[in-house]
Amino acid sequence: MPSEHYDIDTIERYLTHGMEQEERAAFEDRLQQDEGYRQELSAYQSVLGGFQALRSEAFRRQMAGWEQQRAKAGTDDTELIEWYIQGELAGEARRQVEQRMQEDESFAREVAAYRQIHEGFEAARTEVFREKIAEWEKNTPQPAGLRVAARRPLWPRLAAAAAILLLLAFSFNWYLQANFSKNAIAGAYYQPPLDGATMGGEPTAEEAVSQSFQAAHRLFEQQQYPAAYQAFGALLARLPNAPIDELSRTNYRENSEWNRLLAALAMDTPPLDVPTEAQRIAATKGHEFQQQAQSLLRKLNAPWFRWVN
Amino acid sequence: MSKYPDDDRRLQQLATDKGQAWEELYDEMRSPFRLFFIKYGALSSETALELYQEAMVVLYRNIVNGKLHPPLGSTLKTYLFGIGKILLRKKNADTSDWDDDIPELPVAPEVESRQEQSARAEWVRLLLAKVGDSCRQILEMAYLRGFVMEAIAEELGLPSAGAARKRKHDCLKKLRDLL
Repeated sequence: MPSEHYDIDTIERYLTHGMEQEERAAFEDRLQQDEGYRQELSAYQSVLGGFQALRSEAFRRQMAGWEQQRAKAGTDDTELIEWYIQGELAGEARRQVEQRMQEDESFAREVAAYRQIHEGFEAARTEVFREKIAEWEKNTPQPAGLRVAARRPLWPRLAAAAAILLLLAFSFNWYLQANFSKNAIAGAYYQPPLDGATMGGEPTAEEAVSQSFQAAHRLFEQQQYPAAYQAFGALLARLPNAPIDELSRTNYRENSEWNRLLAALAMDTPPLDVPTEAQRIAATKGHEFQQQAQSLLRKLNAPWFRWVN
Repeated sequence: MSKYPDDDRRLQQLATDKGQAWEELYDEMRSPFRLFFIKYGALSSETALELYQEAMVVLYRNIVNGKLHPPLGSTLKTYLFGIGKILLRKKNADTSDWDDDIPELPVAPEVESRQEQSARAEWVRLLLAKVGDSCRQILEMAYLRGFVMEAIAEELGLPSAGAARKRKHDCLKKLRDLL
C-alpha cells in the first residue's frame, strides 16, 4: 500500500509512547497483519531516531558547557578530598587518591589543609556538644544538698558573643557581595559557548560567525564587559544576514542576547535598560534563556540587590 | 495514586524544559552519582564522570521521547543510578553485590555507541538540508527544540495548534519520502 494510506499521527504516537495500553495492543495487532504498515513504521522509526540522536548530541554539548563552568570553579578536587578525608573512598579509588598525593605535592598539601579544616570542624562540633551537655546538666533538677553555685565571670562570654556577632556581620556582607553584586550575578548567570553544531550552511561562513561568537565570550570571561557588550551587539547585527542554518542562527542569537544583557548588567553605566531587556527575554516563549531571565528578574527585584548596588 | 509525587512533577517539568530543569538535575545528582560509582564500582573520578554523562543522556532520551512518564515506579535518582548500573554491567563490570543498594529496574536503556548516534544524527541533518527551509524550520521546532504545537503555531503565525500539527506531519512525510 502507498505510504499516504498510513496515518502518520498514529505511527508517531506509537513511536513516542503516546498510546494507552489498549490502543497500543490494537495497533500492534494491525502491524502483525500488514507488512506495508510495518515498513512504514520502520521508516518513521529511523527518522524519529535520527531526531533523537540530534537532540542527544545537543544535550551532550549542554553538559559539556556545564562541566566547563565547574572546571572553572575547580570543585571536583575539593569534593574528592572531602570524600577521602571522611573515609568514603575505599579500594581502588582510595589507592588512586593516595598515589596522587605521593606524586603531586600540591595535591598532598591541599589534602593536608582540608584535613586540618575537617579536624577543626570536628573539634568545634565536639566543643558545641560539650557545652550542650553542660547546659542539660544545669537544667537538670538536683537535690538541694548537691547544688553548687558556679559563678563565672561574665566578660569572657560577652567577648565571645561580640566576636560571633562581628563574624556574622562579615559573613553576611560577604554573602551579599558574593550573591547580589552586579558582577557576581553576571558571572553566575553567564552561559559559556558550546561547540557549534550546524545543519547545512557553508562551513566558512559558519566558522566566521563561530569565531566572532567565541571572541565575544573570551572578552566576557576576561571580564572586559564593555568590549564583550560591543562584540555581542556586533554579532547580533550581523546574524540576520549570515548564511547559516536557522537552528544555528537562533542558538547564536539567543545566547548573544543573553550574554550581552549580562555584560551590560556588569557595567557601571549599562548602555541598555537591563530590566526591560530581561523582561523581554523572560516573556519570549521558547527563548533558550527565558527561565534564566525570569530568575534574573527576581534577583534584580530583590531588596538585597538594591542594598549591595 | 502516585508513590513519588515530587519526582512525578519534576519529570513533567523535565519533559518540557529546555535547559534549566536539566541543569538543576545534573548539578544535584552529579556528586552522589560519582561518589556511589567511585565507592562501589571502584571507578576513577574521571570514569565515574563519563558514566554519569552517559546515564544522563539515556535518562534524557527516555524522558523526552515519552518512554519514562508518570507515575514513576521509583525515584528519579534510583532510576538514574539504575541506568548507571546497567551501563557499567554492559562494560562487563560485576555489580552483583550491589543489588541491595540499587534495585533492578525495567529501564532497558537502549545503549547505542556514540558512533551509531553520531551517524544517525548526521543522516537526519542531511535529510533536513534537503527538505526545504519552511519544513526544516517546523521539524526542528517540533523534534529538536521541543516546542509544543501551540508555540509552533504562534511562532509561525499559523491559525491553530491543529494547523501546526498538520504542517508538521506534511513535512515529516516529505522527509520520509526522501528515504
